[in-house]
Amino acid sequence: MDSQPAAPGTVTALLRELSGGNRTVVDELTSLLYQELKRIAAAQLRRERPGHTLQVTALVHEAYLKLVDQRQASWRNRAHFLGVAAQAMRRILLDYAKGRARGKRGGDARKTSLDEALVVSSDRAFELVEIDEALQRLETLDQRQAKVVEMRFFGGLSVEETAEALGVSEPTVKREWAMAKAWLHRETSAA
Amino acid sequence: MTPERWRQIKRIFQAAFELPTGGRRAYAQQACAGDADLLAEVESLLDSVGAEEFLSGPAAAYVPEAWADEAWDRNIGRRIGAYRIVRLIGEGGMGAVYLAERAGEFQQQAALKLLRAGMDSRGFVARFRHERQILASLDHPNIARLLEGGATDEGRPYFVMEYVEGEPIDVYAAKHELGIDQRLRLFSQVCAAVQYAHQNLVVHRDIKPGNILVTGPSGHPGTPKLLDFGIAKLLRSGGPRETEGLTQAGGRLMTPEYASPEQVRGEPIGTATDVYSLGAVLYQLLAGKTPHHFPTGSAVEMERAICETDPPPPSQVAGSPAARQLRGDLDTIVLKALQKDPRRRYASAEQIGADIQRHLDGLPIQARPQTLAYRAGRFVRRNRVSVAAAALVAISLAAGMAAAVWQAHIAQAQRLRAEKRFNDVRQLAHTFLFDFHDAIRDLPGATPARHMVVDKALEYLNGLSQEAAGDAALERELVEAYLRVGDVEGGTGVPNLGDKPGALRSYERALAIAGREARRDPRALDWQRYLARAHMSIGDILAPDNRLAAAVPHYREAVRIYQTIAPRIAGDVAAQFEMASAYESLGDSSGNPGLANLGDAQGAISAYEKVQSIEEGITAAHPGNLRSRRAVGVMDWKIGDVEMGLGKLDEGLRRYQSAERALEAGVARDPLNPTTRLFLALATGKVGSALEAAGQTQAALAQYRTASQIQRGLMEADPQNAMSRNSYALSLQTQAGLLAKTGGRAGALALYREALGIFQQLLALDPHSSRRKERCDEVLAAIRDLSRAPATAGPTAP
Repeated sequence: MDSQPAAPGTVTALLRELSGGNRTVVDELTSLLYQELKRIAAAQLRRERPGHTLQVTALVHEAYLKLVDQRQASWRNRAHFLGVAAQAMRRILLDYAKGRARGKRGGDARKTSLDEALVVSSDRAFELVEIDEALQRLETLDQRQAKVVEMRFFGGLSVEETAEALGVSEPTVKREWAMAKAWLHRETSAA
Repeated sequence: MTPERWRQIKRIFQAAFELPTGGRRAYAQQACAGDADLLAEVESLLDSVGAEEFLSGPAAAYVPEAWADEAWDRNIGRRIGAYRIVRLIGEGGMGAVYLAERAGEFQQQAALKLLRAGMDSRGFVARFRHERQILASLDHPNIARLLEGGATDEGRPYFVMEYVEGEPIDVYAAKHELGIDQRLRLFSQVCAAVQYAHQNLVVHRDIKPGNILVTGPSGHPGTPKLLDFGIAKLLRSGGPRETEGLTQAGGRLMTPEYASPEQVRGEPIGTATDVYSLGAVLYQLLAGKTPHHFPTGSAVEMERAICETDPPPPSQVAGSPAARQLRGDLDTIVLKALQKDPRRRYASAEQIGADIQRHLDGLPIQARPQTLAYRAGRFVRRNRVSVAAAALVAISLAAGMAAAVWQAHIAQAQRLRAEKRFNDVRQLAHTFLFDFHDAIRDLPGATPARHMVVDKALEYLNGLSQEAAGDAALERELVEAYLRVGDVEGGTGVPNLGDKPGALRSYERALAIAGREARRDPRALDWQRYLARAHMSIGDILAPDNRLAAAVPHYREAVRIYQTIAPRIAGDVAAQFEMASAYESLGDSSGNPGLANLGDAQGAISAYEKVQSIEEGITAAHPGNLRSRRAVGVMDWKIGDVEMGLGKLDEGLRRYQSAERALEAGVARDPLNPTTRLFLALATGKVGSALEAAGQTQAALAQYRTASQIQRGLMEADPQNAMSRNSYALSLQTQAGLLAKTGGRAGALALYREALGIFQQLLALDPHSSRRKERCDEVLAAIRDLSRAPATAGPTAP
């Protein structure tokens, strides 16, 4: 399982491609970060005491320091990195939450049988899946607003970092965030 | 939604959001400038702003265990105790489960559960030693055996169980589409296993579908196996400190959906706890849902739901046709197991199994319906106070303490006896009316039996009503019962016995009781609503009978009642619909040309317009409510009917077109809803008929064709549905009629033949239906006439 971490050069190079306007590297970068974030998280958790909750923000920043060659990176690279990391984070959490939610609905018998037996079950994984489904609908209406949610909620980015990554002002981020929250709340509580 | 629309909503929302909370609504109203849909969207978003906690934490907090799996994988190949780990089966907040093999032996598979470090491992090992004899001695075909347990080198507790390959009982039942009786048989085996464990002094504490796996080749009746017996206790005794961070419920291990009130409150746990969880599992197996839901998942919400809220009977939750099978015995059994007070539940798991067996054998069950027991209990409690008061008076009169207590005792005993008899009768009436009647309703030749059932029920009810005076809860039950009897006897729009005079008598009794109670307590909303319902039911009996002079005052009275209570039912959609339907009935009987009416066209129109304003109110508050959207369109066409009846063709056409537009919008909102599409087809036909009346033949034909197309779509979507086939054929007949009149003979003949084919198929399905016979004859006659008439080249002048 412990695959070799990606060389800092790879991520840095991809980031520079991206900052140079080449959007085709987004997918490659996302799946690279998907693996890397999981690896760093697992390593962090092994060091911590049990029951420790992982801080996403800290995780993303640690990943940045580890994966990007600081001498060659600009502030613009960092903004892009944070945006892609948020996207990767969303995929990691959703892949897991969907498995859990499916387990709860009874899709994968093996997974639900023994492992759930001792867990105080919560519907929060399912809730996360619902939020994501609503977010996908929001994406079709308003891409920028959906991005703000991805960065703030999934990526744990601050208003400032989100503004930087999207290239908009902080008040704009705040306005988009407020409306997206209201919209998502309405959509997910309408059922 | 169009991008343009979204931008509009966004602009207004964000501008409103900048304002202080108090000013947002007013701004939105002004900014939307009369666009009701837009305003509804913006307001519903503004309504959603207040939820502070929503999305306040990071997404990762929703699945804190999402990261653990990488680390869990590292144990593969490792040896723990006598077992070697083969692969990961699953993981969760408490730990991971592996498939393991007994080292050195061939194919001795087991499930090994390894808990997170930080559990109270020393305590666990000590408790495990203490209990292992008992747990390992549980030897039952429906219980997975515990094989081993202890702590690993680094101090993590683990235990090993028989490996069971199967599916959770609810998944199994759904996947194999088991019927209710099959589910019950499977479940009784579970009861027997739990009973066996209880006899061996082991309480499970965490019974839930995920812990009941059903094994066995598909096609065979499966064998349920219970996992993790007694484990929850081993883990729990560690106290909250050791399990901190691992569970959300203050360190108590449980699954909220199946947890009993005493578990949630942290009170002592016994066999009654398992009885409760069995009830919750049975609930899920029968109703398809758990008894309680926790939308926010907060601890307060869970505790309140589990400790205070009575779950609805499974029959009310399950969809038809299961609902009918559940009503009565099965509802009673499940609700008895789910009683909040452990003493009121079944005394053992075996007793649940026994009652299920009695139900399967068609014998009367032992449990009594919960509502009656509950009511009786309440009655006694209430009277205890009055008994105590009587005793106090007696003491103050110096009649002697002993005498007072003795008299109080006598009084209470008599009350209890009276209450018991009373409740028996009440239950009987209820059983007759609801369970018994429904069970036989659809049997051929059941009519005399149904009459008898209803007569018996009435006899009991009339007896009860003498004694009921002053007990508001019972009066309410009586009114419900009389309304129900009336429906069974001769209610409108429901299968009934055709006994209109009987129905009228029952409704009038309901009216009398509701009227008396409403006078006694004029502020009580439910009495006003019962009163209105009784008036409506009476009107519905009288109106079709052409007794309009008698019917209309009842409708007026119902409308008057709703007018007085209107401000208090503003947020209650069900009551709003009731109110709308009162106005609609008043409109129909005042001046709907298609029905018996008083010829009061203006009265009808204003009643229908009132319906529209009520339904528009509902739509504004609930933009997703299709029924209210539809009703606005339907009222337009009813008003159109009235106008056409007055000879105002232009006005009629205008109204029909407005109906068509409203229903088109409804279809655009929810294209798959068949009712809305059917209504659209009818409205489209109405527009056609107005055009035809105005002599605009080509335009009328186009409308008819569109209506037919919609009907055809509906028919093709649901080919088994006789109604939609019939409607389609009728639309063809209408179209053919106009075509024939205007000389399109060949086209008309083809349409008539297609209609005839459908009508004949429908007649073959129901050969005794005189209406279907008439349809066939009509179309045949039309075809004959056309074949005989000389062909004409073009449209003939009327």
